[in-house]
Amino acid sequence: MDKQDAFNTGPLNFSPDMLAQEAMRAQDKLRAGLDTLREVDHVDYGATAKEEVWRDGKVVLYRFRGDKAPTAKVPLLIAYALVNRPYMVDLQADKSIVRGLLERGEDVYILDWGYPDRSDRYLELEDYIQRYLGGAVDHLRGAHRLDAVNLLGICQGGAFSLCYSALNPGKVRNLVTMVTPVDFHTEDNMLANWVRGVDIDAFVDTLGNVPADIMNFTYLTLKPWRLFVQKYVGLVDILDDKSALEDFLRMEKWIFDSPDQAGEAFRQFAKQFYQGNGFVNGGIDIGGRAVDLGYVDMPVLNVFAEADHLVPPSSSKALGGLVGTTDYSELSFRGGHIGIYVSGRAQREVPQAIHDWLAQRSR
Amino acid sequence: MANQGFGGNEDFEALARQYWSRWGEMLRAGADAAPASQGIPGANFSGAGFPGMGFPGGANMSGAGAVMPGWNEAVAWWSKLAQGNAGLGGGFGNGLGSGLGNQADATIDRFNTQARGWYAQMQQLAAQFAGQDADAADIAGAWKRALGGDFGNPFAEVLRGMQGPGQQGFEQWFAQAAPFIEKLQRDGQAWSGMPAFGFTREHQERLQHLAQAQADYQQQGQAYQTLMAEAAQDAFKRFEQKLTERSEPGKQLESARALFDLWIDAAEEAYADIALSPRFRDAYGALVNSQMRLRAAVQGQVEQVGDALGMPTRSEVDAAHRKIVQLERELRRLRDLVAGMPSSGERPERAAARQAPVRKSVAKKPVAKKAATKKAPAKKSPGRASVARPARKAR
Repeated sequence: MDKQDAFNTGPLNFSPDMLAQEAMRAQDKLRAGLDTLREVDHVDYGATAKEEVWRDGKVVLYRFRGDKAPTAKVPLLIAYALVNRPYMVDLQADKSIVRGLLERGEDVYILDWGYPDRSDRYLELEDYIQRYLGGAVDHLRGAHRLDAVNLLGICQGGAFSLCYSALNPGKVRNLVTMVTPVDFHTEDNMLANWVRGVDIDAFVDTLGNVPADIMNFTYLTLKPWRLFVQKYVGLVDILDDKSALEDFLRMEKWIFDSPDQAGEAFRQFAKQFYQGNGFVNGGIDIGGRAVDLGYVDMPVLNVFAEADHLVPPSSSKALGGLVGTTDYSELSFRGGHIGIYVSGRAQREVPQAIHDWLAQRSR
Repeated sequence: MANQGFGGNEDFEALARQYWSRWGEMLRAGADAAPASQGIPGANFSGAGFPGMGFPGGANMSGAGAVMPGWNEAVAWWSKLAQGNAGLGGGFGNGLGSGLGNQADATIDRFNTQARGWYAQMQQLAAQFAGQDADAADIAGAWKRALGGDFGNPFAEVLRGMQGPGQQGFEQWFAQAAPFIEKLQRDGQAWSGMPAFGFTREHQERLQHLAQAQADYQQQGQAYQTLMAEAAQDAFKRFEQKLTERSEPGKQLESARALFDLWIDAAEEAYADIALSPRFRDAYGALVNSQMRLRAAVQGQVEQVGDALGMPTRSEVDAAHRKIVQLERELRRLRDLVAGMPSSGERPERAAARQAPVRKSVAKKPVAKKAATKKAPAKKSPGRASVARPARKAR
């Protein structure tokens, strides 16, 4: 390697030899990748055992089974977004928020929204929030003989959880929101900026259900160079690492394993939340009932990611000024929208923080 | 079989090693022999490194815009070989199960599509200036020329590269529908400029509407691409600026990959600047809306055809689904009533006890608080302690 002292006035400090060495390393990675790809194991998504405990149509409530019995008296229900599959919170053994919560004694349930088809086109937000989320909550209240349960809403599921909590405050004992959009009109919200110019009625009337590919394409075009170019160049770096390659493929699976969006629910969400900014301005209507976050009077923990490009922290942090509770806390996570579930830091910090916060409020 | 006559990894390894070896030699010789402005020393490469494969492509190495010999072809070849393994009994099929195997194939495909060309071009740029005391303007200028100069639109290329078979995105739909649209327009060409009247007036109007929708879509597409081109030009400037910032010892770039990553930073920043603007919002909305109008026009024509053939149309199926959902909703409400509880499921005594909430921030943006980034369990946020817990409103 012959770094040349002469290259000290320009931005480049490499010689042809160094470039050749770099190319050789890439070649070695590619060669190794042929073997690695052959060796990668079959991996099931979702690391933790779970069982179905309730169902309404395509929507299923699962209870996770940890290695030890839960010590928490109040179950914790996770409501994920509609736009991706919920196994992100339990992707693999070493990347599982669920596992972290179970290990700390929480009794964890998750709602799986399923894959809507054309017969679901006319499902509305009322169905998702009052019927499905509400049905799951009612099931848990009955099964655990409790008036209220703990609710953990993630991303769009967090927005749903806020609506549900505002409409049914007596049924939610503690509310945790993670990477949840609240103020959709902050200046750094690229996605909301785009949606605000779209004729949502024409969009849904034409498409019916919104295809997952359109959703994914839209998300990825938020950062096209990083997500479509740099990421795959970087793939070369891990081609000789079986475990890292499996992680990469598993994440690819999750990213592109997206359900279509039920048309009417999409219409309502896009218009009332993205365009109308209803949490801030008012105007959210769920089955004829107005949503007012002033009714959210249970303890609230708002977890957001500092480098979130999908839900900017400024969007999430607006919650503090809107909820009616006097017990409002924030947890700022150093990472992005995905890292908050799967990064090493997330495994260390997020389940512990949620558990501690809930434990403080269970006494 | 995808590896087309190669014996397997041994052949790949041997040939690739031979190839990369020659590549390195060529670079070293070229750096000594030719100035950077003449491009990388690859134009004379014979393609003999991989006999029988037409590899590496000497043909694509002429001129300043040529691609570094090796990376492009090696990655394409590797991708074929890797995907070929997926089809073999001992490959993904056995090891991964169909889910991950397919995912691996899809990933390799994206890798091949996305990583290959762009990184190859950046390697080309790096090789052009390797071992020389080039300044930021020279490098950024060469990169800009490689991507089309003042009229280049690499952003459009990236977005186009994101499309793939089987997807249901905007561009794919248009590509699939284009023959149908063209046929409809040919059929209706004689009518297109005439006022609609008489027995066929409805058909004529639909075709005119479709033609207008297509023209509008193309116009909006051009407006959107103009913004993308603007972002590209801004990205070139930012790239030069970033290169300038790295032009001192300790901050210099030491690999083609670092140069590539710097371009990515510049491109993303330029893109974000445009994409967050009201101009982009308008252009994006206009583009999406125009495609919806075009889609709706095409779907209307398809419904006409389906109706004429006695086939159920999408509108009819949608109407049936709507009725079913409404019936289910009514049924649930009746069931809840029969069960003696309101549809919200809330216990009546609790609901009766609710009072109006204190709503603090309706119709105005909340004042940004100083980040209360405390670890849980957290104390109450500053400034919130005085807010009274609201009573619940009776509903």
